[in-house]
Amino acid sequence: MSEKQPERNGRRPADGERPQRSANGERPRRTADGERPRRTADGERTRRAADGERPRRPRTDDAHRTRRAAEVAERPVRRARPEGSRAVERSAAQSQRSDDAKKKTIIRSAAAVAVIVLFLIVGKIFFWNQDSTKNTQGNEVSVAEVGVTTTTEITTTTAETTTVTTTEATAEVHFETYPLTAGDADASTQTQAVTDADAAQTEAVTTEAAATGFPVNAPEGYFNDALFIGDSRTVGQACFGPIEGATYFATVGLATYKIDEAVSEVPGTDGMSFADALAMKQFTKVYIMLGINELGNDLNMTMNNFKNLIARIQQAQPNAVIIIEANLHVSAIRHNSDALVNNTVINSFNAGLAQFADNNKIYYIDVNPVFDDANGCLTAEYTSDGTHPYANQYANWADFIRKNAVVK
Amino acid sequence: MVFSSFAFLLWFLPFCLIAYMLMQKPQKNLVLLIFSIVFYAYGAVETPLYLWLILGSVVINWGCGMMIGRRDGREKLWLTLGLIWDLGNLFVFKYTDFFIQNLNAIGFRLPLTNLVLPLGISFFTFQIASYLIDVYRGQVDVEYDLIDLGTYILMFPQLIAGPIVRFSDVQKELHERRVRPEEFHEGVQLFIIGLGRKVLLANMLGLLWTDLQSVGYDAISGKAAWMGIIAYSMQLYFDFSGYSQMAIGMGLMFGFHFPKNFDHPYISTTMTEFWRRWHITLGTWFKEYVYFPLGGNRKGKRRMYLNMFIVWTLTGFWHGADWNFLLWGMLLFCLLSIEKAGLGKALEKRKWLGHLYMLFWIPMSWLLFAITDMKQLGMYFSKLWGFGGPALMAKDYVKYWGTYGKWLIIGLIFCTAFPEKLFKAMKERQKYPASRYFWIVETAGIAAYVIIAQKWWFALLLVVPYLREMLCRRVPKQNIKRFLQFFWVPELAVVLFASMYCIYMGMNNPFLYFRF
Repeated sequence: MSEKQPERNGRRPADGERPQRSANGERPRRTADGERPRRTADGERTRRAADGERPRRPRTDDAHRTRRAAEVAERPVRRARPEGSRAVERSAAQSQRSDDAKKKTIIRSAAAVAVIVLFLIVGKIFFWNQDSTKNTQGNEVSVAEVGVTTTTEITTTTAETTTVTTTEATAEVHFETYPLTAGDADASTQTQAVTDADAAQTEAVTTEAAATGFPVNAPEGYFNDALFIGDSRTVGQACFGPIEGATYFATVGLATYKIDEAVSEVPGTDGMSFADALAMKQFTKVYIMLGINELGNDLNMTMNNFKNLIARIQQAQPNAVIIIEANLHVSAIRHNSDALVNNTVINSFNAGLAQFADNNKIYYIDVNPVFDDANGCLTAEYTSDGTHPYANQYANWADFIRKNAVVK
Repeated sequence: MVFSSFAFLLWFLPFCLIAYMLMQKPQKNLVLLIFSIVFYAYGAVETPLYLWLILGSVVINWGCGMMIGRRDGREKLWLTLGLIWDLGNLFVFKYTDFFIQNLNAIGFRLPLTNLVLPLGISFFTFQIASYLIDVYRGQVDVEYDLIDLGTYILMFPQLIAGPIVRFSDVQKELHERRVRPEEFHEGVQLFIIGLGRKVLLANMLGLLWTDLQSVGYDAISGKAAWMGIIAYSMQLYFDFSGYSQMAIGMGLMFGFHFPKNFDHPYISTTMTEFWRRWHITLGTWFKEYVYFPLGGNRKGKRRMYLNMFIVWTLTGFWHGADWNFLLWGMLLFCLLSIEKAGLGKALEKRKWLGHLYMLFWIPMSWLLFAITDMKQLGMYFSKLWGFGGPALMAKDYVKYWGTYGKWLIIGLIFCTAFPEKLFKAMKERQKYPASRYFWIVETAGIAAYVIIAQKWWFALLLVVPYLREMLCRRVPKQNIKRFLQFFWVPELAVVLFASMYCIYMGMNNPFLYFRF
C-alpha cells in the first residue's frame, strides 16, 4: 500500500543525515550544502530560509540548549561538506543545478587550486628565503680568529729620541677575493701593535711636550682646522663627544655613493652639503669614517669611490692630511645574526681601507680596541642596538682621536 | 609574516583573496586554513617544530572539545587535560626561563632553556582555552569539524596579534557567511587605515624612542625624556590598534566580524575607562574566564579586591615574563582599586581633571611597561622628574623636536576621535551639509604642505579634492551612496602608497607586540 518509499523523487538522504519525514509523510525541503540541518524540539525540520531571507535563529531557551547539546553529542560527526560525487548525483537528480553550473563549480575549484599552487611557487621563488637573515655560519665565531690585520709602520720622531716601532707585516688584501679567508695573520698582532704604539708614544710624550709624527697626542688647537666626515656614529660623536674646535659633516646613513646629495645633520652645520663643507675653509686634517652603510655594495666599486673621495678632498684641501678611521665593530649578537653587517665583513672592509694609508698624506687609525670585547665585537654593555655606542662612550672615542693625531 | 611587509601585501594577501573568492562555499574555510598554515610556517621558518606544535594543539583541543561534548560525566577531566596542555605550553615556552633566572638568583644552578617563543602563542593559547571553556559551559556548540575549528584558531588575520576572538563571535559566520560588497569595501578601507597607522605613524614615532635608546638614558635631557615616553605611548597605540584594524579589515574581506579591540583609549578620563577601551578583547577574556569564575564582585568587597589583584597581576604577567610587567600589572591594580573606591566617580564628574590625571598616568604606566631593566628604569624616571643629571648634548630636545615634532603633533591628533568623526561625516554628506566645503580645507592643507616642505610634485594632489567634489555634485542622488563607497579611494590610495614607500625604504619597525 502506501509504503514509504525512501527514493521518492529519486532523492536519497546523505550519509549521516537523519531520514527526514514529517508527520504526514511529505518530504520537507532539503537544506543547502554546508548549511546546518535545522531541528526543532520535536524533530521536525524547519523550513529552509529562502534566498536573501535572514536565516532563522534557533531557540535559545535553556531547555532547548541542553537538548541541543544532547542531540549534538548523540549525532555522529557531521560532515559539512558532502563528497564530490554525491553532490554531483544529488544535483543531477534534483535538477536544481544545471550541467553548466556543475561545470562552473569544477572550473572554479580547479582555478582556486591552481591559484594556491601558483602562490606557493611564487613564494618559494621570491619571498620565502629572504626572510631569514641568519649568518651563514651557524656557530659563534670569535672574530679575533678571523680576519686580516693591517700593516703599519709607525715612526715616532721626537726632538731627542727617535723610536721606530714596526709592527708585523700581514697578508695582502686582494680586492677580488671577498670575503677573506681565515688563517691569515693573527689579529692579535694588531692589538699588540696598537698597544705597542701606545706604549712607545706615551714614552715619547713624557720626554717631550710637543711631539711630531703619528700617532701622537694632539697639541692645543690641533682640531681647530679639522674636518670630520662620517655617518651616524660621527653624528653621535658630534652631538655627544664633540672635539673642541672641529667641524663635522655627518649624516645618518651616509655612504660614499651618496655623499653629494647628503646634507649634514650635525647641529651647527645643519643643511650643509659636502661641497660646502670642502669649500668652508682650509683644513689641515680630514677624518673620514664611512663604509658601514655600503657593505652590501660591490667592494671594488666602494673602494673606487673611496679613492675618488680621497682625491677630491686632496684637490680641495691640498694642505690636508687625510686620516681614515676604521669602521666600528658591531656587537656579538648582531655579528651572529646578520649575514651582511657582521665583524668578518667589517674587518675585511677595514683592511681594504688600510691599504690607502701611505703614512705620508693618508693615515689609518682604528678605534675598535677601545670598544671591543675579548672576541673582537663591540662590547655589549656599550650599546643598545648593537651598532651605535651609547652617548657616554663617545668621550672615550674623542680621547682616542686626541691621542692618535698626526702632527707634521 | 608582518602585515606591513611586501611579502604579505604583494604576495600573500592578493593570492589569498583570489583563491578565496574562486573557491566554492564549502571549501572556503579550507582555503583560509591552508593560507593560515602557510602564514604561520613563514613566520616560523627557523623553528619548524612550532608549526607542528600549533597544529597539534588544534587537534588536541578538537578532541578534548568532542569529549566534553559527550557529556558523559567526565567533562571536567577533559577540560582540565586540555587546559593543562594549552596553558602548560604557554608556561613552558614563555615563563620557564623567568623562573629559572629567579631561582638562580636565589642560589640554584639551573641551566637556562633559551627557548624561542613560538609566534603568537599568548594569543592563540587564550583563544583555544576560551573555546574549551565555552564548550564546557555549554555556551557554544562543539565544533566537530576539524577544518572549521582549525580555521577559527589559525585564521591568519587574528592569529599572531589580532583580537582574541571568542568562538561565539564567529561560530555562525564560520559555517555560513556572505561577503557583501559594502562590507568588503569597508574591510579594504579599514585595512589601509590600519596599515597607515602602523607604518606612517607608529614607525615614525618609534624612531624617536629607538633614538633615545641608542643614545642611552643617562645622556638625554628631561624634556627629551618626556618626548620619548609620549612618543612610545603613541607608538604602542598606533602599532597595536593599526594591527588590530588590519585584522578586522581582513576579517571583513572574508566575511567575518571580529570584535573591536581599541576604542580611542587615550581620551579616557579614568584608568578603568582606559582598560575598557584598550585591548578590549583581552580585558573581556580575563573578565570572563578569570574574574567571574573567581567570584567577581559578588563575594564581598575584600574578595573583590583580591580578585582584581589576581586578574591584573596576571594581565601584566601575560604581557611579558619579567618583573617590570608584574609591577606594571600591580600598578594598574592599585590605580583601579583607588578608582573603584571613589576616585573614579570624582574624575568622571570633572572631565578636565580626569584628562590631566590620565595625561600623567598613561606615560608613567607605559614607562614601567617599556623598560625591562630596573636600573635603566630608575635612570629614565629620574630624568623625567629632573634629578637625573644633565644631558650630554645641550638642548638635545631641540634636535628631537626638529625631527619628530610634527609626528608628535599628528600623533596627538590621531589619538583623538576627531579624524574618524571627520571621515564618517564626509561619507554621509547628506547628514552633514558642512562637509561639502571640506574640499577647501583639503586643498589648503595640500598647498600648505607643498609650500612648506617644498615637495613640488605633491601639487598634483591638489586636483583630487576638487575633482571629487565636482563629481559628487553631478552624481544623481540615488547613486550617491554607491559612489560614496569609492569616495575615499584617492586619500586611501595615498596612504597605501606612502606606506608601501616607507616599507620599501626599510623604515619598518618590528611590531612591538611580537614578543607575545
